[in-house]
Amino acid sequence: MYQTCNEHHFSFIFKTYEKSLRNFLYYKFGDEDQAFDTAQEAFITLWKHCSDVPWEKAKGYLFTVAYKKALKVVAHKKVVLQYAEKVEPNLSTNESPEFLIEEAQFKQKLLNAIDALKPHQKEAFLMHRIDKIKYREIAEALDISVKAVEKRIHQAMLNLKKHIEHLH
Amino acid sequence: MKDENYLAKLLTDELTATEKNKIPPEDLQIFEAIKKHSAELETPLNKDVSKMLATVLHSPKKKKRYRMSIFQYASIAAAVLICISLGIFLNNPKTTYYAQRGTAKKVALPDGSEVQLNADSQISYNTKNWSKERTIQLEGEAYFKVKKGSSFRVETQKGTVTVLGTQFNVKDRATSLLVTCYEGRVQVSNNNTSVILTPGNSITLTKNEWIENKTFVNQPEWTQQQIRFEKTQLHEVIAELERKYNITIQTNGSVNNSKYYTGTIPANDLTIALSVIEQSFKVRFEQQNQNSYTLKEH
Repeated sequence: MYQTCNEHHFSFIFKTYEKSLRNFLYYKFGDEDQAFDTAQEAFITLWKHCSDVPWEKAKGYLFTVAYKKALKVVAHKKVVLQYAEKVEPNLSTNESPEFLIEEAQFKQKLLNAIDALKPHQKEAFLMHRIDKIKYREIAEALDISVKAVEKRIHQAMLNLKKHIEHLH
Repeated sequence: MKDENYLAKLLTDELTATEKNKIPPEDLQIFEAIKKHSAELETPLNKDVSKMLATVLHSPKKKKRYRMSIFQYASIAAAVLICISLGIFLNNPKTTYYAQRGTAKKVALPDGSEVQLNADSQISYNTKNWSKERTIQLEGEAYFKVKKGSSFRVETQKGTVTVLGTQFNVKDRATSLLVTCYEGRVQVSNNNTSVILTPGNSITLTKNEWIENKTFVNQPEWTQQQIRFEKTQLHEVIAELERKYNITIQTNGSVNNSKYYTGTIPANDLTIALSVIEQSFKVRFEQQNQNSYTLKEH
């Protein structure tokens, strides 16, 4: 059975969640250093209370702690995002140059549209899209209902479309 | 729309075809494009996290307060009882250490004395009596650094070595026993005779004779990744190579034992070791597979 207090098992938690936890905090602060420090504090808190946190609850605990710590921080800089470089080049596809230009334009518009989202819609949307966190887990981390998460995501989608169309 | 948050379902592929068909096609195209490209996004974070885990694991842990049920207390009591009774019936205070072929091993004894075991060698001693009687049974070869104290005995099939605090090497082989003293005084004895060695001196006991010799190093060569031979016949050299490198050497019948070898070969480089022996005895080792060789005499 996995134990949160076991260094080996704890390292497993660390390696699995450190990236998405730092991302989560980055969506809040837009500041990499701040996200790094707060993520470290959250891990230290989990380690300190490891005997009270069962293995299955560790992830939720980690995000909840990070979320509470983040509430005390008021740095709101711009969240910068980028597209992952494609692994395989699109050489074999029959996509026309026009299509590729259109796609590049769309991707840029999407970045602008995300930037314009309200913070609580943005963070839920990015947690789902970038870190592939389930709605139920986002709800736990943000201390809201699953329904509320779905609403934020839905609203985010509508606003993104509106923004992209507006830029046509 | 039935579900007010249908776009959240679109992102998790939980939207049914009927629900999907209700979205105007030009809108759906944009939503699908958002879904596709947002999944390709990433953050630009590139701070090095390699030290973070260590920092976290070195931070203090809160002590757990154990609350045990009566059942847990009972099982602990039962476990203690079982241990005590096993201890009474299976009281075997003998401790044994064995260094496998191709390895060496360092052992700390209860009094702080130190033993280095050469490949394929074993020591055992009685833990219970150790403080009263420092006696070790040895098979193979070992180098001892003995803390000062009551007498320290090393027993082999062919003879016993007795010392006070000192450093010495005992090499117990099929036909001989070689003891070398590096510090202090060492007494070597069998049923008939007894001799006292001083530093820099060694003695070889064979079936019929005691041969005295000198050493010019201050600890055995094998502890320095070397193998030392003094007037050694080929079959003994082969046995030593097999033991130290964990290989087998087929000899196809009898080995010419008319020649003796005196010298040092490396204990960590088989190629060089074999080539030195090949040149000295005018023989050849043919490799059969990874750990097996055949001896060819010219």
